[in-house]
Amino acid sequence: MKKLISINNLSYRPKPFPSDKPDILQDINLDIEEGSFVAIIGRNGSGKTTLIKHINGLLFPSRGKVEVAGLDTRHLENHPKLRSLVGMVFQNPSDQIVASTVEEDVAFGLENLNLPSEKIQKEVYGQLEKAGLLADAKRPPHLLSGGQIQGLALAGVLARHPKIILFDEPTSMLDPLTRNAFLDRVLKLRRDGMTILYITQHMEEAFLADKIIVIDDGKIVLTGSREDVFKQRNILYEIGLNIPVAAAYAQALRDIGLPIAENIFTPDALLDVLPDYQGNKPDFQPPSSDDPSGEMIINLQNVHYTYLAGTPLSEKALQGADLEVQEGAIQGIVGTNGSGKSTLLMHINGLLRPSQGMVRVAFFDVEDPATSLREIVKKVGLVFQNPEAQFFEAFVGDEIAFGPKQFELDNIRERVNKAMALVGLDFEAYKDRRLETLSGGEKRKVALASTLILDQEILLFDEPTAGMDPKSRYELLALFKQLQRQGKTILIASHRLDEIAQISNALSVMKSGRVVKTSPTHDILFNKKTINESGLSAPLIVEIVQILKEKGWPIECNSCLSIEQLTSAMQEMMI
Amino acid sequence: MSSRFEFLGSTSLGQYIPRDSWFHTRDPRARLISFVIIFVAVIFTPNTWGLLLGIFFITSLYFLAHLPIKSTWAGIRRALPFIIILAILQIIFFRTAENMTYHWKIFGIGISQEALFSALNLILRFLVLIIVLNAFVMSLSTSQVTAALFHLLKPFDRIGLPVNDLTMVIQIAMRYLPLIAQIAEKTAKAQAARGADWEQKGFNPIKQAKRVLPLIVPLIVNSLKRAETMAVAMESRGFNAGQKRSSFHNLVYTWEDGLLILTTLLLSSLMLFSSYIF
Repeated sequence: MKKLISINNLSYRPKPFPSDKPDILQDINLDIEEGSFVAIIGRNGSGKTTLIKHINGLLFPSRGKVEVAGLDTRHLENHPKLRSLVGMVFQNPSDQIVASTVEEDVAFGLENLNLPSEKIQKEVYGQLEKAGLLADAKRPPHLLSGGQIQGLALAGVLARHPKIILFDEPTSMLDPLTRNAFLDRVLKLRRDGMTILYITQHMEEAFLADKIIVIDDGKIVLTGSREDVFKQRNILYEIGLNIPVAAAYAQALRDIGLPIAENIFTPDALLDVLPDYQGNKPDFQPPSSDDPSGEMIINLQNVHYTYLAGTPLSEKALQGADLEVQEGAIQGIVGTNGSGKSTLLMHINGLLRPSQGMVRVAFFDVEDPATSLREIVKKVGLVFQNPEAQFFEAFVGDEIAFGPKQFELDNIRERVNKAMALVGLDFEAYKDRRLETLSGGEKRKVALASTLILDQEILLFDEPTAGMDPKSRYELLALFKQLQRQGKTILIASHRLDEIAQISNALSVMKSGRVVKTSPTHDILFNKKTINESGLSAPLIVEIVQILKEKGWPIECNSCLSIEQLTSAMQEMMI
Repeated sequence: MSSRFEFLGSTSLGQYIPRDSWFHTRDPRARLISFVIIFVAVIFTPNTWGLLLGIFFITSLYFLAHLPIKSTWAGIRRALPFIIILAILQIIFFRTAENMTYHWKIFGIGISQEALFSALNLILRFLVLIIVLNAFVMSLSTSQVTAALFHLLKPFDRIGLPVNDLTMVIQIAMRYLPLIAQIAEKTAKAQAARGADWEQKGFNPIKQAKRVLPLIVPLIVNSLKRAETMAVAMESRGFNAGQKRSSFHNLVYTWEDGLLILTTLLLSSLMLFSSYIF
């Protein structure tokens, strides 16, 4: 195989940069062969993006050398060639769209090559057809769905026929269905001989690659074939990463003494090797479930809402949604992007008022415009998707104190202190730090604290784990449980069934602006039809339980929605 | 009920209505030039006859291009209070000669016939301008405007005008306005969700201003951050300021486009020279 990218002793340090801080990249050595698919994993802020920006010359090495197809990236005269050779797809799809219509955006990169119009048009429509965007060619990009925008971004890159594509967490905003479609396109590119560098927070996606590079604090910690890297479980855990879920489950099953081989990394491989039941306990009693049976605290009936009503751009987001939530429950709202989850949440704290229908939250008639938004906000907190994008203060303390100041509460300092402790931020160390100096995970914690400080009874979260590394995701799920123990009612909108299954009491499935089903979590998870019809995918644990039952294990469905619950139940059965 | 957070709805961008009319199928350059000519004529036509002619021409344009009258009517209604205030000021401060004859006296202010006429003209002129402006945004998309500008300005490339960069700036600005509206919407919602008072009860301009102020800093910061990401994205897609670029749109100029410009010119000169005709 021909060597396409070679990185020698690369160190990078932006100017100006505080002298007490280490270089962002330190002595990176890396060779990448033509046609290979390399995944790059690491915590938020470990230097992954900085590394790949060196490959298309967006950044220059402070020391060392980066060569792509023999071109030294430091020489500016190489840049036009370099940019033709290397394409890049960014994390936040909408930031990379330049033009005001879809077709013109794909054309942008070709216009830069000064090609004749006819040639550009032919290429543009060819790419739009492959991306399934032909019907949207003349629409403005900000009205596309997340998956469509990411497809548009990729089409714009592919139109220039690069040899290397850099992906920077391209799927973090996508739901499972669009994510799989996007990954299929990436895999097809690899089969066609494209060289791919792929940054991801999802270990399952990393496992699609031939080779994995693990970065921590600007250094390469591990590199090798995907199996070799994921066998180094302890190193990965230590730096806040994870192994593919299937591999982790396989390990948990091994730990309770089941004969499962070491080299299991994918769901299919794991499901194939699950053992038959050998024990003798047909009358196994499941532990009683602790589902809360409180009063109904949220009740929405037949809610309709249309964005930009009365304009040519109007969009029906809710079309008769019903929702009931019990006090003290953690309830998940699941559905694909664009199914109306966020719009529904904004109705519960009164940010949006329904154009038709009834919204009862605690004792408020939210549909009545006379009900004050501020009064509702005292009872209901909402954490938006990517909340750190909406910071408006300069310092951590001020940002968190914003809410209490609005309500002129007393003891603000103490309240800030308590809220920060809740999310695991040290008050003295963080209160005077500037928000932009925080890492991604820390910012998310500040955003959480700035809502939790108001101590509302009802808390709403919109895709709370999107874009977070495995360790921060785990901490957040634990926080939800803790809040529930304090008596809060929690609603979480998400397209990740696997995470929400571990903590929620009930799930509401949304599709096309309606809630199609609300049931206890286990009922939804084991209902294949509902899950498939709403464009979601069942978590691996559900598939494992189903196969184990087929193999004679006397498992009760509702007791096993996390691997810990499953293994402890299985252990009892094996005695 | 529309939401108070929908800033996107109040921008007049994106109101382009694709139609298959004769007017819509004309070259964007011809349409752009025609609109510029009409604007000039409406602004400089000297008397009421010219303005009435203008209303007549533009109403026929609405028919020709199958444009809906509804949103234009809404635009007029929104602007009407301001126009009336302007007209009243015009009446009060109208002076042509030292000793004018006042026809009426209201609250001790003398009002002449000339003043009334000029106020009427002013109202009429603004109305025509609003109607033309609405026809413009409904019949030319932002991308057609940039493409037309690009091709129209191209000859000036030779004398050193940075045409590529100029049209790029316009294109990015067009792309950015809805983005900024979205950022404003998100930030306002985030503030309201944490207790900021975004509900307006009655008329209170001080409170209103106080509410908008905290939006401005995050709006600027967020826009700059996005601009930086966008600059990086543009660079990674091969954009370089000052380099030669081509255009996606291949504009073809036909005799019908010439006819459109010629007709507009003729009609506009009727408006401009109406004082000699009537």
